[in-house]
Amino acid sequence: MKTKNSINPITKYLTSVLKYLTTIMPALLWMIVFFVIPLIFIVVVSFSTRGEVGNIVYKFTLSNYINLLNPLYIDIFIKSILIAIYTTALCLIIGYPFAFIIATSPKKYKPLLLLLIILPFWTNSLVRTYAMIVLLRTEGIINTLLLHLHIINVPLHLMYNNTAVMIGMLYMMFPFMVLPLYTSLEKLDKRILDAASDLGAGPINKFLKVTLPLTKGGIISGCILVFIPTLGLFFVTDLMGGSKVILMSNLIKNQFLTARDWPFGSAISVVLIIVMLSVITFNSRTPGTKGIL
Amino acid sequence: MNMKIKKTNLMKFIYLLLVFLFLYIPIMVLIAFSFNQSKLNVVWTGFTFEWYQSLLHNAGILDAVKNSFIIATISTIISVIIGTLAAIGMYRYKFKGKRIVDTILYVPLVIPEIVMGISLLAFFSIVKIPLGKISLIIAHVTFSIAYVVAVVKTRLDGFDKSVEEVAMDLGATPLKTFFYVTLPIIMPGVIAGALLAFTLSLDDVIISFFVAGPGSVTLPLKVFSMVKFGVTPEINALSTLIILLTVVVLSFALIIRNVNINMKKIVVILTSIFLVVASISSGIYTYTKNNAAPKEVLNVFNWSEYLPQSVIDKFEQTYNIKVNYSTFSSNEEMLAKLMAGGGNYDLTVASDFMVEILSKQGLIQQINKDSLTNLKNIGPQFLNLPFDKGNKYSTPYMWLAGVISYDSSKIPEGTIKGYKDLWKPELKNSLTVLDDERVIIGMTLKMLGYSLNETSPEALQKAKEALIKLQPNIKSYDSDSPKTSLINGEAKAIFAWGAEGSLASRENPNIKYVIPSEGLFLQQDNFVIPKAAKNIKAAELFMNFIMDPEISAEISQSFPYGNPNTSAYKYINKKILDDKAVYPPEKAVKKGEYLRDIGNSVTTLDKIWTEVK
Amino acid sequence: MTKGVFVQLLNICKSFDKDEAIIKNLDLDIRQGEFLTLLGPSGCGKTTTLRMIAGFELPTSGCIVIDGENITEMPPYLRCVNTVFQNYALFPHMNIYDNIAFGLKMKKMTKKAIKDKVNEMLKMVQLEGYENRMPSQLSGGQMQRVAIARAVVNSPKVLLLDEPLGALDLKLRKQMQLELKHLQKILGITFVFVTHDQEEALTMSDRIVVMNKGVIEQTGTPEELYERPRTKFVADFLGETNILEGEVFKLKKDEVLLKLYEEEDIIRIPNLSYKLGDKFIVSVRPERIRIKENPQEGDVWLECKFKERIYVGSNIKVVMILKNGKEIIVNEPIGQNFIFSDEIKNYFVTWNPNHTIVIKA
Repeated sequence: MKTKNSINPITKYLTSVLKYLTTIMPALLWMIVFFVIPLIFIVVVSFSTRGEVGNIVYKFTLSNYINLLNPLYIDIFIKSILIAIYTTALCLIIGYPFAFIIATSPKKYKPLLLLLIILPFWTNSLVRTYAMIVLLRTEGIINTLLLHLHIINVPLHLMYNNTAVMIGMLYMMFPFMVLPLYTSLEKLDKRILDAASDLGAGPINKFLKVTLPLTKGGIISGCILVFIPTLGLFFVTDLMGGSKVILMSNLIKNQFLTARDWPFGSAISVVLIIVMLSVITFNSRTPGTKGIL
Repeated sequence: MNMKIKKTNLMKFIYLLLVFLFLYIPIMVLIAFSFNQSKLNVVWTGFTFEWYQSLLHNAGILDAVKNSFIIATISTIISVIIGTLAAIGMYRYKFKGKRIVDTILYVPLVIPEIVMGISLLAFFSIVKIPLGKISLIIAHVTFSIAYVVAVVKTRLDGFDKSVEEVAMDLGATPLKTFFYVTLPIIMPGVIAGALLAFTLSLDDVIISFFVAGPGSVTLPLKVFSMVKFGVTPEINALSTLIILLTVVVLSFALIIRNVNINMKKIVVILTSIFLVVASISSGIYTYTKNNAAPKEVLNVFNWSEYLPQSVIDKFEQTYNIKVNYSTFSSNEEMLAKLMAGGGNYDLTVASDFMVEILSKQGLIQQINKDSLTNLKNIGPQFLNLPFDKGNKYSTPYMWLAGVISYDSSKIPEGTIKGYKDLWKPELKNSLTVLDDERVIIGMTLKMLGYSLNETSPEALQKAKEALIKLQPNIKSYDSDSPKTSLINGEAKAIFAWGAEGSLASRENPNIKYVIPSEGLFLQQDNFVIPKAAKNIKAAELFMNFIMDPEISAEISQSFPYGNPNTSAYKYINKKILDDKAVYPPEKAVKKGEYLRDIGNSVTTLDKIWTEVK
Repeated sequence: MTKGVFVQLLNICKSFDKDEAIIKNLDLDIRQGEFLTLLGPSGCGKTTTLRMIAGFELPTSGCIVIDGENITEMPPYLRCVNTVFQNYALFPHMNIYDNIAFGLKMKKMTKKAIKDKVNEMLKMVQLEGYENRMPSQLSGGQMQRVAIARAVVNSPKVLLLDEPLGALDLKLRKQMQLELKHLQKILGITFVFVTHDQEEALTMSDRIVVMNKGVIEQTGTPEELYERPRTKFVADFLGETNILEGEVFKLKKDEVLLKLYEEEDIIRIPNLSYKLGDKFIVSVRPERIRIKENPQEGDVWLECKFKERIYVGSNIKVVMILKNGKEIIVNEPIGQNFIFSDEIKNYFVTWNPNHTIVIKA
C-alpha cells in the first residue's frame, strides 16, 4: 500500500472556514453592522461640531470634550457615578443576605422563592417604576397612611429629588444583583464550609474567610450588572426626579432630542462608554473573578 | 441549641419577608387600584371593572400592544436563530480572534442602553433608514442576540461533545447530527433564550424611545406617555394585565424545564406556541381593525394632549384614512426628530418661532391653499403673522397664553399677581413649571423687564442668576401634563399654558389663575407639512378638516386653548369663551409677546438651562 | 479463527498544532476477527490511534486501510466502523430503543427491519423490556450494554472500544470483561479495545499492542508479552516484576556472568551470544523467586535482608532488600511462606536461571 502524504491543505482550510461561516458569521456580521459601527460612529460624531440648527458638521474639533471639563458637567458626572455607586452598594448590602438566605433554605422552598424574585424582574420596568411613584407621591399611599396615623403632620417630599431617583433605581435593579449572587452562593460546595468548621472556624470567620471570597465572582457580576445600566436609566430619573434631577443619562437624552447637539451628546456618551470599559477591564484583570452571567 | 436555631430561622424569615414586601407592595397596590372606582389612586371608593373595559376600547393602547407583539415575535425569531448558531460556533471552534468575537457578543449585556439607543438613532439617520417597525426590530435583535448567546452558551457548557461524535460515528452527517442530536439537547436553553429575548423586547423602553417612529408605538412607550399623565387608572389595569401575562409566560417556562424534550415534543410545543400567539394577534388585530381596510395612512405629529381621540376617529371614518398619531413634548424634540430624518411625518405642529426655524432649514414645504376651503374661518388677526408672512408654510391651529394657576385652598388668593411672586420663599418646593428653556428663561427675562427674545449677555446673566434663585421653589419640570401635578397635589401652583389650568379647574374647583402682571407669554401653534411628507393630499385634507367650525369647537371643548377659528365660536361652550385663562382680556393680549427665533444664541440658553437645573 | 490482515495503519504520524508529535511512525496490522487491545499508560497515544481509525482525528501523515479500502480521509459517518465511548455517550433525549436504532435510521432502513434488529440486539445484551426507558433511568452497567448494542447493531467491520469499562466497579468490570469477550466470539467482528489496565488486556485479548509515548513497544499474544517482553517498559508494565540492570563481565561456554549495577552480586544467564561489556536489563517475576537461607548449586542467588511482609489474600508479598538498598518483591503462595527467624541476618533470594528474562538494553 502506498503511503499517502498530508491531507490537501486547501480543502482542509476551506471546510474549516465553512464551519465558522455558517455558525458565527451571521451573528458577527449583524453585531458589527448594527452595534460596532454605530458606536464607532458616535465616537466620530463626538469630534464633530454642531451646525447652526442642530445638524452635524463634520469638522474635527475637541470642543465638545473641552466643554465637558466645565465644572457644571463634572458635577453631573460625579453625581451620576455617586448615585450609581450608592444604588449598587445598597443592592449589595440588602441583596447579599437575601440571596444567602434563599441559597441556604431547604430544597422544597427554593423554586418558589426563586420564582418570587424572578417575577418582578420580568415585569415591565415602567410598570414597576410607576408603582413606586404611586407609593411615594405627596398624596400617595405612604404619605396618606403616615398622615392618617398622625406620625407626620406635613406630607414628606418623597418624590422629585435624588432620594426618589435612588429608590427608583434600587427597585428596578435589585433582581439584577440578587440573581448572580444567588448563582454563586448556590454553587458553593457546602462541604468546604463543613471543612472550615471542622478546622475550628466560627460562623463569622467562616463567612469572612470562606464564603465571601468564594462568592467574589457573583458579587462582582452583580455589581457590574447594576452599576453600568444604572448610569443609563434616564426614564427613572425623568419620572422619579421630575426633570429636576439631571444625570448623565438625561443629559445625553436632552442633547440628542431637545438641544439637538448630537456632537456634544456623543461626547458624553463616549465618556460613559469609557467608564463602562474601565469597569469591565478591571473585572477581567482581577484574578479569579470571571463573571457569572 | 434548638432555641438558637429557631431564633435565627425566625430572623431569616423576617428578613426575607421584609425584602419581599418591598418588592411586591408597590405592585400589589397597583393591581388593587386597577379595580378602584376613584380616579386618584389614593382612597378606595368602590370596586369596578370599568377601567379594564375602557382599556379594551382604547385604540391607542391596542395598537401599541399589537405593535409590541409583532416586533417581539419577529425579533425573537431572528435573534434566536442567529444567536443559537453563534453560541454553537463559539463553543465548538477555536480560532484567532475568538476573544474579540467573545467581547463583541458580551458588551451589549453591560452597555448602558442609552448608548445603544443613541448610536442606533445616529446610525439610522445617516444610513437613512426610516424610523418605524423595521428600525425597532433591528434594534431589538441587536440587543437580544447577546442574551440568547449567553443563555445558550450556559446550556452548552454542560454539553457532552462525545454525543455528537457518536452520532457521526453512527452515520449521521454533521447536518443531521445538528438536527437530531445537538439541537434537541440544547433546546431548553434555546427556549429559555427565546423567552428572554421576547420579554426583553416587550419590555424595552430606553432603546425603543430613540428608534421608534410614527405608527410604531410600542407598549412600553405608550405606558411611558401614560405614566407622565397618570390621570386614569387605565394604566393600572394595563399594568395588571402585563403582570398577568408575565406570570403566564414564566409558569410556561418553568413547566418546560421539567419536561423531557425530543423532536416530537418540540414540534408539538412550537405549534401550540404558534397557535396561541396567532390567535392572540388575530384577536387583537380584528379588534383594532375597522370595517373596511383603510387605503391610506396619514402620519401626524403633534404636542401631547392637543387633539382629542374623537376628532381623529371622526377623520378616519369620514375619509377612510388611517391616522398614526405620535406626540412630542417640546418644539425642540419635534425639530430633532424631523432633522434626524426619522419618521415620515406628513403633518406636524410647530410653534411660531419654530416655523421660522423650520422654513429657514428647508424642512417644511409650501402649502397649497387651494384645497383649504375652511381657511376662511380663521380670524384675520391670526393670519399673516411675522413668522410666516402670507401663510406660505403654515395654517394656524391654536394659540396659547402662559398663565399661573394655583390651588386656592393651599395658596391664598392675591398672593401671586405676577411672575416675580413665584420667587416668594413661602412657595418653596411647590411649583411645577413647563420643561421648556425658551419659555422659562423667557419668563424670567420678562420678570426682569426685558423682552422674551432678549439675547444680550448681561440680560442672560441676570436671568441665569434669577433662575438659580428660583430653583428651590420648583418641585418639578413637566411639559407633558403639568396640570397633573396640580390636580394630585404635588404642586401648589403651576406656570403653564392656560388650557392646563382650565382643565385642572374642571377637576378641582379650588384652582384659580392669574394673568401675570409683567406681560403675557403668547404662542401660536400651526400646522406645517414636512418636506419628507409622503401623503400630502391626506395632510391637506386633515388641515382642512380641523378648520371645520364644529370640529374646531370639539377640539376646544377637550383642550381649551385659544381658538383662532372665529366661525367656531358659536359652537364653543360659553364658559370656555369666558374663561380668562383661555381667552385673556384684550389688553393683556396686546401687552403680550411672541417668541422669535434667536438663532445661535440658543446654545447659550442651552447652557444656562443645564446649569440651572 | 483469525484470518488475514483486515486493518492496516501505515506510517501514521500525528501531532496537534505544531507541537511535538503524539504518534510517531506507527505501523500496525490488525487481523480480521481478532480481539486486539491497545495498552499503555495515559498519554501514550492509544486513544488518539483509536480515534484516527474511527475518523475523529486526521493523521498528520500516513494512511489507514480497512478491508482493502483507503479510508484515511473519509469522515466518520461514512466509515464502516463503530465506536463504544468511554462515558457511553447515550443520547439523553432519546429512549433506549431510539438510541440503538439511531445508526439504522441513518442508513434509512425500513421500520420493520429496524425493529427486528433492535429487538435482536436487546436480547443479546439482556436488556429486553427496556426499550422505552430513558438513559437517565439506567445504571452504569446497563448504559454500557446499550452503548455496545447501539454500536454493534450496525454490523460494523471493526468495533472500537475506548476504555468502556473504566467507570464500572471492580466486580461489574470483571463480569463485563467476560461478556465482551464472549460477545466478540459470537459476532466474529474485529474488536479494537483500548485500556490502561494491563490485567484487563491480558484477560481479554487475542493480541496486545503495548504503546508508550506514541510508539509501539511490542505486539504479541498475552503470553508472549508476559513471558518474553522485549523492552524494559513492556516487562515493567505487564504484571509485576523486579528489574535489575547490569553488564556482561565474564563469558563462559553455556552461560554468561552479569555484574549487576545495583548490587555487587553476579547472576548467571544462558549464553545467547553476548559480548563482553554488553549492557542488560534483567526481569524476574516475583512468583518465580524463592527465599532460602542457603542457596543451592545451579541457582541464581542474591544476598538480601528482610524488610516487610504484605498479605494480599491470594498470596503473600515479601519485600527483601538487596545489599545496597534495592528492593526485591517475592510472591509466596499461601502455605509456602518462608519463616524468618528473629535475629537480623542475611537471607538469599533465588530463582531458576531459565526464568530470568533478559532484555538487551
